[in-house]
Amino acid sequence: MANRGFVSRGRIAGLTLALILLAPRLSFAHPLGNFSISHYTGIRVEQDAVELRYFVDMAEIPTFQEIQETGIVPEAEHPGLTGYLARKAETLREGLVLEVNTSQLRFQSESREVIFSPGAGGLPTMKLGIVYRARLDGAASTGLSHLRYRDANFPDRAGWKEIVAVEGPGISFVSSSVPERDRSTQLTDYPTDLLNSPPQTLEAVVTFTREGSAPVVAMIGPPGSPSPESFSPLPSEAKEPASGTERAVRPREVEARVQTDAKPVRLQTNQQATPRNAFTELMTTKELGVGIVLFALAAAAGLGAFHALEPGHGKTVVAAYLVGSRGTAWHALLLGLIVTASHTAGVYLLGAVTLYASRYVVPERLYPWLGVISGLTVAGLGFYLFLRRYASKNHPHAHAHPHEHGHGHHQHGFVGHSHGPEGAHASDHHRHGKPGDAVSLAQLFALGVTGGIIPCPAALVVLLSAVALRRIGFGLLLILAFSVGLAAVLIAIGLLMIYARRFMSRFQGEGLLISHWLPLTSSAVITVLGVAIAVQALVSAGILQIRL
Amino acid sequence: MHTLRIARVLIVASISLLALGLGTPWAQAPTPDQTIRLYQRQVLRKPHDAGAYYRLGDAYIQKARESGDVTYFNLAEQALRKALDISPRFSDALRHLAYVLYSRHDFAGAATEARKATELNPADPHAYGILGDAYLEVGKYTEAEATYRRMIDLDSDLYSLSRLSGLKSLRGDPEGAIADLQRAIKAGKTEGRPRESIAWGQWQLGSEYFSLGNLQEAGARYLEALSTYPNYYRALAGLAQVRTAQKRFPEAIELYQRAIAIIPQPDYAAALGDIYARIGRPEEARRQYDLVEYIGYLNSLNKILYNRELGAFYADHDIKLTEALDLARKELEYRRDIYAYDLLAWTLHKNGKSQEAHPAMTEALKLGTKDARLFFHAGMIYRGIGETEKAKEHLRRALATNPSFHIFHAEVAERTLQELEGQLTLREIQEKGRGQ
Repeated sequence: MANRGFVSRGRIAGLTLALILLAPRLSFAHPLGNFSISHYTGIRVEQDAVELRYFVDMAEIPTFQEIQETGIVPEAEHPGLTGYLARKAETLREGLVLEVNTSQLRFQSESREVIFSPGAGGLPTMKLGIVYRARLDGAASTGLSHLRYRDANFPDRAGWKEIVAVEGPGISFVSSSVPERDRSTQLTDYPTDLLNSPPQTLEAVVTFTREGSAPVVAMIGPPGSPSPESFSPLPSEAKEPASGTERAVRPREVEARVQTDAKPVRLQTNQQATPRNAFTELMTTKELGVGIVLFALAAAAGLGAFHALEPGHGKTVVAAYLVGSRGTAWHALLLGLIVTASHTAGVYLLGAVTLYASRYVVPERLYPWLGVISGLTVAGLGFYLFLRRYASKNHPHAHAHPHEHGHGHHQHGFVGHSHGPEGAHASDHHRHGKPGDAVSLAQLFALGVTGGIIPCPAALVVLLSAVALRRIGFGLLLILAFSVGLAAVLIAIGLLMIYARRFMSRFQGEGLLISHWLPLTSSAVITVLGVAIAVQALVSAGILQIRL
Repeated sequence: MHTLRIARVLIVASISLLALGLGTPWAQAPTPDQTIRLYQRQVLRKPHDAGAYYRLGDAYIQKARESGDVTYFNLAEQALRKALDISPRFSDALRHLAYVLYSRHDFAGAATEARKATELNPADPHAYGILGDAYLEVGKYTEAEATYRRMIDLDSDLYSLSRLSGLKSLRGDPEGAIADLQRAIKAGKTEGRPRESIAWGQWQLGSEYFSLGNLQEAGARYLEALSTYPNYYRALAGLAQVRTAQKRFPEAIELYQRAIAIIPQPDYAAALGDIYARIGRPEEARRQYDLVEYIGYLNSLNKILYNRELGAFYADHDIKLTEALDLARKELEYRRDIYAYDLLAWTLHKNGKSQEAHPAMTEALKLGTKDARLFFHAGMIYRGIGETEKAKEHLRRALATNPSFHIFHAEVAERTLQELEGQLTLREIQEKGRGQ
C-alpha cells in the first residue's frame, strides 16, 4: 500500500540509484566538441547603417585558454568583464571586414555581453555577443549596392560558422549568398544531422537596393555626444566611381557615427550535449569493471530488500496468508519467487508500455489502475478464503472424509491441488478446504502475482533511466537484482510467519485459535488489505476523495 | 550582374588553368565543405541511393580529419550506416565504416567491419589497409604485416604505400620507410588525392627524417606539407619540433601556437610548455602544462582518448605518477602495441618499479624500432635495475639515432651516459644539475 510519502521516497531512491549506477557523466559538454569556437553573424542592412550582431561561442578548452590569458573570472556579473568585453570587441572587430560598394566600413561596438555556462564536468564555456554598427552615409548608392563581409577570426578552428543577412526597413535584397534565418538560433541550438552538418560560412555577399531616394546624412548622435567636428565623411568622395586600381590600393574609409538604440544582445546557453565518441563511451562503461557491476547489483538488491520492508508489495498479504494457511517453508519460498517474478515482469511490462505508448498514455495514469486491479483481486481472494473458512466452521469435523463429496465438489471452482506434508493426501481432490487450509498453488500464484504486480516507481525509474542512457541490458539486470532483494525479504517474512505459526501451534496444539480463528482472521485481513489497496489506488487517481 | 561576374571569373580561371597545363591537378580538388554540400544535395535528390550516402560519408570523414572535430565522424557513421541499410553488401561503405571506428579507437570493431569488407570484395586494397591498421594499433604485428602484403599486392597508391612505410618504420627499417613514402607522395599527386592526404604523407616523411636525426630534411618535408596544405596543423607541429631541436626557440614557439590554435592537442601544449620552461619563462610553461591537464581531464569526461599523451606527460614531468601508471595500464588493456608497453615500462620505472618495467620495456623493443625515445627509456630502466652495460648501450643508441630527440631528455641521456661511463663523479653531476 503506497502512500504519497513512500512514493516520493521510492522515486528518489530509484532515481539516485539510477544516477549513481547508470549515469556517471550526465553533465553536458559543448555540442561541437570541446575545443571548438563557433561564430555567428547576423547582418542587418538598413537605410543608413549596417548592423552586425556577432556571436562567438567558445567551448571548454578555448574558454580555459582565454581565462588563462586574460585573467578574467568566469562569472557573468563580474566587474572585470566590462573592460575585458570592450577590449575583446575591438580585437574581434579587427578580424571582420565589411565593405559596401568596395568602401570598407568602420564599425564600432555598441552593446556587448558575455555569459558563462557550465560544460563538461561543470567546466566553463563562454559565449560573447557584440553588436556592431556601421554608418552607410553615401557609401550605398541609389541603385544596386554590393555588400561584402568576411570573418577572419579563429581561422581553421573547428566550429559552427554561420552568417545570415536580413533586410531592414526600406531595403530589399536582390541576391544574397547567405540565408535569412539561422539554424542555430544564434548559437544556442546546434541541430546536426546527416543532411545538416555544421555550416562553415565565413563570407557573405549581398546585393541590395534602397527604396526611395538617397537619405540625407543625418547626424543623430547619442544624447550629450561630443560636437559634430569629430564627424568627417565627405559624401562626394565616397560617391566617386572607383577605378580598378584605386579600389585595390586605397579602401575608402567612411567614419561611422554610433547610434545607441541598438537592440541589446541576448545570449542563451546551449541546448545540446556534445557528440561523444560513441565507442569509448561504451568501452569506458566496461572499464567500470566487474567490481563496480557487482557493487551496482548488490546495491540494487539492497534497495529491493529495503523496499520490501516498506509498506506495500503485499508483504502483509503474504504474511497473513501464510499465517492463515498451513504453509511450509517451500510455500514461503515459492510465494517470494512469484512475487519477484511478477514484480520484475510488471516493471518490464510497464517500462515497455511506457516507452511505446508514451505518446498516448502517461505512465502515471497506469499506476492507479494497476493498483485497483491488484487490490480487487487480493480482496476477492481474501473474501473467498474467508467464506470458505467461515463455512467450514459449521462442520464439526476437522478432518476431511472421502465420503463428504458434496462439499468437496463446490470447492473446486477456484482451487487447484494442495501440496505439502500436511496435505499428505494431496492427490485426493475430494478433500475440501480444511480450516487452516493447506496451501493451494493457485491461491499462492494469485496472491504472489497480485502482490507483486504493482511495479514500484523506484524500479520503474531505474529501468527507464537505463533505457534513456542506452544501457538497457544493465538496467534489466538491475531490476532483476532489485526483485531478488525484494524476494529475499518477503521469503524471510513468510518463513517467519510460518515458524511463528508452528511455534504457536506447538504450544497450543491445534487448538481452536490456531486451527480456526487465525485462518479466519488472516483471510479477513487479506480482504481488508485488498480493499485498502484498491481504495488507495483510486484515491491517488483522484477518483475517490477521502477526508480523514 | 553578380552572376555574370562570377561567370567571367570562372572562364578566365579555367582558361588559365588549362594554359598552365596539368601540372598540379590535385590543386583543383574541392574543399571538404563543398564536397559535403554537394553530396548532401545528392542525397536529398536520391534518398534511396546507397552510393550517395557513401560519398557523403566519405566527405564527412575527410572533414573530420582536417578539422579534428568528432562531430563529423559521427555524421560519417550515420551516412555509412544508411548506405548499409539500403545495401548491406556494400563493401566500400563497410570499409569506410571500419575507418570511422578505427578513428574512434574501436580497433576490434574496425577489424570486424574491415574483415567483412574484404570478404565481400577481396580486391579492395584499402579494406586490407584498414584491417592491417587495426591489427597494428593493438600490437598484432604479424597479422598486420600479412594483411598489408595483400594490400600492396593489389595496389600501391598513396594510402597503401604510406601504411607499408609505417610498418617498416616500426620494424626498424627507416630507409625502406622513407623510400616507400616518397613513392607514396608521388602516387598521391598523380592520382589527384585530396591535399590533406598528400600533406599527411609529406608530414609522415618528415617524421621519419626527424626520428633519424636528419633535421634538415625533416624541416624541408614539413615545409612542403605546409605548402601542399596551408596551415596543416600536423606539419606546423612537426616543424616546431624540428625548430626546437635546432634550438630556434622563438620560431618553435610561434609554430606550436599556430598548431594549438587549430587543434589544441595535449602533446603540442606539453612541448610548448617544455620550451618555455627551457628558456626560463616558468609562468607560461605553467599555463601550457595546465592546459595539458585540462584537456586530459575534459577528454576523460568526453571519452576522447588521450591516455597515452597524458600518461607520458605526467611521467616526463614527474607529476601524478600513480595516475600515469593507471593510465598506462588502462591503455594496455585494449591496445597491446609497443608504445603501450613503452608507456607502461616508463611509468613503472618512474614509480620506482624498474624491475617490473624491464619485461614491459623488452616487449616495447621487440620489433627493433629505431626510436630514440624507446632507447632512452630502456637505458634509464636498465640503469634502474643496475645493468650498467645494457644501460650505456641503449643510451648511446638513443643519442646516435637522434641527438636532439627531446628538449630535456636528450641532455638527461647524455648526463646519465657520462655518469655511467665514470667520467663524472657524483658531485660533478650534482653541480651540473644545479646549473641547469
